[in-house]
Amino acid sequence: MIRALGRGFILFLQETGAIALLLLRAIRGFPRLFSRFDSFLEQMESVGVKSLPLVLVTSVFTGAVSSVQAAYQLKGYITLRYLGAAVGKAIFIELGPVLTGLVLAGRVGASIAAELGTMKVTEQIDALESLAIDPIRFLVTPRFFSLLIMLPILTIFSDLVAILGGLLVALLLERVGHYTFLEGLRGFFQMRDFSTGLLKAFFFGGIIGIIGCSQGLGTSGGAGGVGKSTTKAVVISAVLILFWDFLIASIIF
Amino acid sequence: MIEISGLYKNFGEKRVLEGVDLRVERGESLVILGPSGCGKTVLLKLIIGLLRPDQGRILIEGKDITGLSSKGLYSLRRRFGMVFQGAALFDSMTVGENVGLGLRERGGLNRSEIEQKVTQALELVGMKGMEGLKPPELSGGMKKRVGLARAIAMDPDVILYDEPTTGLDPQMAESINELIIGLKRYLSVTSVAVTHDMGCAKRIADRIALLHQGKIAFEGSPEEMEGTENSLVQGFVRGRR
Repeated sequence: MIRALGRGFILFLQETGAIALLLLRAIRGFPRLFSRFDSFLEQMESVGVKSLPLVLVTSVFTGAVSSVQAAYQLKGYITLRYLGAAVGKAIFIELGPVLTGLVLAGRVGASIAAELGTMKVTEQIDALESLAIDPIRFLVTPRFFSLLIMLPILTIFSDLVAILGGLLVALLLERVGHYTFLEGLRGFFQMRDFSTGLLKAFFFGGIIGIIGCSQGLGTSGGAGGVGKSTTKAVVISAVLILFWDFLIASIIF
Repeated sequence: MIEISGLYKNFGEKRVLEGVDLRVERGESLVILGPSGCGKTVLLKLIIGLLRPDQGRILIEGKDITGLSSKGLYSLRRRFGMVFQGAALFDSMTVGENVGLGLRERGGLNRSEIEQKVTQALELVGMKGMEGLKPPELSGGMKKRVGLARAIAMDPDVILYDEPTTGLDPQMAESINELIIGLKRYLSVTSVAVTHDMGCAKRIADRIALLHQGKIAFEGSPEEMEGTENSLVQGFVRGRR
């Protein structure tokens, strides 16, 4: 039992160390990003623009349900004038960045792990090395930085659309006027809430990028191995997103 | 040109190479023969520094590469070209982009010079005019040819071939053999091929080395291999013919 725990702990340290090294090497590749700017833009499109519809759909329903839930909790105790404030706070600080992060972990993190994993098992990574191309600078750096940039941008879209979803529910189901809803939102809006959400999104982007890449590059064992790496990338990213969400919230608030 | 001595490689508990000693002379075509799973590809990857040995030395023109940093290995690899068993073409790129990638990343050439080198390399392997195709549109033999073009576009001193004819029909296998022989003559490169295909080995080799149980069990010309009374070699020659 103790031996198994020790082995698990050593494995954990090894994996953490490998991810930290990969992160350092990916960051060191930053200056070369501009010499392959077209591939960087392609990644930004793949990560950001193509994820936008999914993020928007998720966000509008998230905003709507948070409006329903907030109204349910306020009714009978506090006036619904504060509905906009409650929805806004929940979305800017928590729901916008976290749900965007989780959606991207599923869509982009899994896709990165599967793509790099397939390249690993079909010797395409070895082929890059044989051409004297560093796979980390070539594959990991553009994916990592495009996620760092695109996740906060997607979160801004998510925030806006979620507020719209919340407003629609307020108007149609709760009979709260748009002026009242928006006044409540504006009255309690703090720039710190919004910027904390974006800071979280920035970290979540980094987590999704580095975990997807590390799981992909660590793939072994054919198609089954690719499947395992993809699943692990999503699970690890989701857990780390929730952990960092807690960490950042407890430091800032 | 390449001198390997006392090379050992394990993967966990599994011993793959157990003291390989081998020399490759400049300009020669050496074929490392052996059954599937005997460690031939591992040996090839050790030569180009894709894997690190547990013990032993690999000298490339007198310089031991086993202790090189990753920067040193990248500069070493510029002298090598490798053709992978499954071709290992980059799926997201066209044939032309695959062949030109190494040149583009190495720098020093402008776009039209790269295009010219790509066209030349594809012409040499009989794939001229196919620059715009994507790997999924190619047959197995065409993929091998593009893999070869990608390797020769970099003007290597040494080309490493991993099972160049595996998975191809006899006609296509023969055309790949002819291509390898032709390129060796035309480009005067050193070739190291690993295969379990006896026909391929006899066709392209100046010298054959038989890898058995992690060691080189026989070295000699194809004719010496045919004539030897070594029962292990004879068993392999007869079994595979």
